Amino acid sequence: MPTLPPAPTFGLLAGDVGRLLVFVGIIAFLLSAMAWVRSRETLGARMFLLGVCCVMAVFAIHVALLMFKQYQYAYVFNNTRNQMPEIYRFSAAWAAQEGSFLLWALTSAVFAAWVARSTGIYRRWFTVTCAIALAAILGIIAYESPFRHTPLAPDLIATLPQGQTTVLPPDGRGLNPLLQNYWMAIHPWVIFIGFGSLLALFAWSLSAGLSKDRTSWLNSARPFAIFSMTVLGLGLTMGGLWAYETLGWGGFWAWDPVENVSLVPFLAMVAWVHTVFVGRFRQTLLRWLPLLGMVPFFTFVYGTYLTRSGALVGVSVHSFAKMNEGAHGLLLALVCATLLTTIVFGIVAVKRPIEVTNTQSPGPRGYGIYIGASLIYFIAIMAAIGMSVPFFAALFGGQGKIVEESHYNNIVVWPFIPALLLLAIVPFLGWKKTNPKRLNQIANAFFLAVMLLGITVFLLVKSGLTLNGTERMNPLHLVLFFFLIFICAFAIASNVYLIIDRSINRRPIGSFVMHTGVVLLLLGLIVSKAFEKKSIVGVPVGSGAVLEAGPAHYFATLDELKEENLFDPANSLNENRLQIRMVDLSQTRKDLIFRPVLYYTTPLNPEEPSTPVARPYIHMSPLFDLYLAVGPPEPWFEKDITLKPGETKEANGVTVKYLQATRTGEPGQPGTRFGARLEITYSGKTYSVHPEIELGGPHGLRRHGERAGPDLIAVMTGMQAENSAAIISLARAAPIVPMELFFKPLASLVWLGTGIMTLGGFLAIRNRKLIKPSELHASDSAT
Amino acid sequence: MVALTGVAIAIFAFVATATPYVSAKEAQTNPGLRVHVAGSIDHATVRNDVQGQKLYFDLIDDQGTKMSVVYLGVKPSNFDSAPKATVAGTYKEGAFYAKELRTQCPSKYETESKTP
Repeated sequence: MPTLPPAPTFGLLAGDVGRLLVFVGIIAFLLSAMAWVRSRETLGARMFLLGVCCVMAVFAIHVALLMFKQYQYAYVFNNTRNQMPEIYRFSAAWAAQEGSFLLWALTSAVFAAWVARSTGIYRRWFTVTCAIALAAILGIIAYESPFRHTPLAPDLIATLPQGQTTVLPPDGRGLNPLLQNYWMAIHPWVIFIGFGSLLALFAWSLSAGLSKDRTSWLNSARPFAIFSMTVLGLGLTMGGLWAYETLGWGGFWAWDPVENVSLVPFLAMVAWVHTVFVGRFRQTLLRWLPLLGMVPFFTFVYGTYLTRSGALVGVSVHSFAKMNEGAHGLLLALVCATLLTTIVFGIVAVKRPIEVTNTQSPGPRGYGIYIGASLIYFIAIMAAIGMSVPFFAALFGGQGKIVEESHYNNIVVWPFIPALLLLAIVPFLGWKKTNPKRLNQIANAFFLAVMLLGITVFLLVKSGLTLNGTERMNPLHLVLFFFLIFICAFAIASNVYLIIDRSINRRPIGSFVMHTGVVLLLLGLIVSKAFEKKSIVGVPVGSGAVLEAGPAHYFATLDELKEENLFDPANSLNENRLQIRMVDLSQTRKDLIFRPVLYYTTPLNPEEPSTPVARPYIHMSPLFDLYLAVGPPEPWFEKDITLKPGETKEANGVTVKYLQATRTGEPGQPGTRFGARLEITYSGKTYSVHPEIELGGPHGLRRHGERAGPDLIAVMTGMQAENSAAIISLARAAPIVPMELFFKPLASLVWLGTGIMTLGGFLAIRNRKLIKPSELHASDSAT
Repeated sequence: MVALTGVAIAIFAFVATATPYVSAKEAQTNPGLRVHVAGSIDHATVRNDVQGQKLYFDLIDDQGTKMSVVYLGVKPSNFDSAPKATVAGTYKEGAFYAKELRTQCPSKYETESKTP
């Protein structure tokens, strides 16, 4: 075993400083909380800032250790390797458990520091709450530290020179290949900024609940809440797009428990933002808004615990690490404390007398928004229950259970319908009563929606879908899908109508742009899933096969598989692409070249098996996506058929007859060959073959296969000396690559909707900042 | 009150229709019932019918019961290196017909990695 050099001093020092700063951060946040409790504001603010700086410095050190290849740290060793591109080395900072907790701490701390200045009279308890929570998160990081040293193998310790206690491994194990994707550099940041924002809004709500003034905070908190909602929504859809591009099952969303863990806080935030909109303007539900504002953070902390507690192992496509026991206990304590705080301070907020100057009835529009928010809460509750079922089943030692995707779809579709209808109608309603002119506008939007439905159907037909493609669907489902498309079209038409109307009158349009984006996104999800067609075939290397997925009708050919492309020491996805020619058989489209990724990993430890990694190829167009997923090549036709001399066996239409055992050379001598004379019959023809095994030699055991006709190769994989039985496997002359082609109409709407939704969110934030509080009344009442 | 009752009924329906995880023996004694079974993959028994889009293998659950599985779909790319799998489907005529197959990654994050 080669002697490894000691770890460099600067690397060791950096890790020690990182560990120390975690503790300094904890102390600073706790001192900040104590100072704010005692109303020593200056000291409290400084200590809070010191804590935030510590978190930033710890994160910077963590990234530096990754970038400078300090493999003496377990995190760096387990998640990076020398040949990784720099962008993935950087992205590894949040690829594993310790890094994701650190990213949560960073985004929470920075967002809280940013928001603190806007909290005004609520700052005292806002800072106390944030500081305690951040100290707890840093406590988890102290246990679940990214600065733990890589454990040394016992035989390596024995070879270390006297006095050497550390080593710098020459390479690491590398990042999980599925994470080596450009989304890895974008998606976690975005979603964690959203998660980080939840703590600040929780603390703000708690602080507002302790105050008699329940109105002034709503104006300043709402832009941050819209920001939080927008970023969470963007992060969620990015996650869906990442799954679509990477995982090869052709979908964006599967109601996976880990997806739901992100969805529930987002929905709770969406509902809260809408409730605040009415509450702020009509001075209603002011007692309840603090409690509702605390819910998103609680659901996130609870969801974080679910994913880390181990209850979801085996029921989610995501993989989980086992937590350190101390970190697990702290996280559990954080969940319990958050729940308790939400209940206790929620009750205080509801019961406490408040100053109300001008409470008004929510009116038609307010009630409409409340009903919409209730429907969103309903969906959030169902998703929360669904994701909790495996956890509670495990907790109470009962039979494990999981709520499947189809159950979610069957339940959640029902609140979606009225919610989308409300999205179409409510913006036209008045706060006190609705102007008849507005009712005419709703009618106009309705007729516009009929046109939009017609356009959608035309686009579906234009994409190539015919009734032949849909007639296999359950008629009830078909009607339901078209009804859903119509409702979406109605919501889009209404919101576009309002965008135009308000743009002409120079009034804010952000929320209507966001609604339009959300509905376009939903429309893309519904249509691309409902009318999805797929085809699965095995394509022999060197020849081809027909793939027919609805209107997509192609002959796929794969010329060769280059070994140097299939085995990639860098485990990088850059060059390892197959080239599949797709010849259009419908004669209506161009021929295409598809380049899905397929390669085998090269593990650091040669004893570990290579793992195939595949990534689909997506041909995108405005009307439809063609999505091709490939699997690893299958070389075997039939494996391990055991035959005694004279015996005949049949497997998958191929008959193998073992005629005679053969031997060339003396047993036990290198170069001696043991063979089996066989007759292999298929497709009406019989082929005589003589596969052999050669003992010893420089290559160890060698197998000499022999071609049996055009399609098969007979290989002797083993023998039994006691009865001269031969173990025969039949390999394919041309390995078969499994391919799955999906035809997904109007999937482009998902991308378009995401972009418009995000634009709308940021427009809404900008609008809220531009409008002075005194103008809010006029602005809102005008709609 | 009506809305709350509706929510309660929806929640009850949601939980009641959740698919249970059972042992291989329970799956075999309840043919036709849709269930999940988790266990180790017996890689020596794997046969992949690519053209027929079927994957045959034996699954051994925690109690050591062996069950033949026919997965109706494409073999997952990490199947060959996956130690364990969860299948969802129904047992009938001597085999478990799985419509879903979820493999457990031999994730490096789950075990303590040591220097080679």
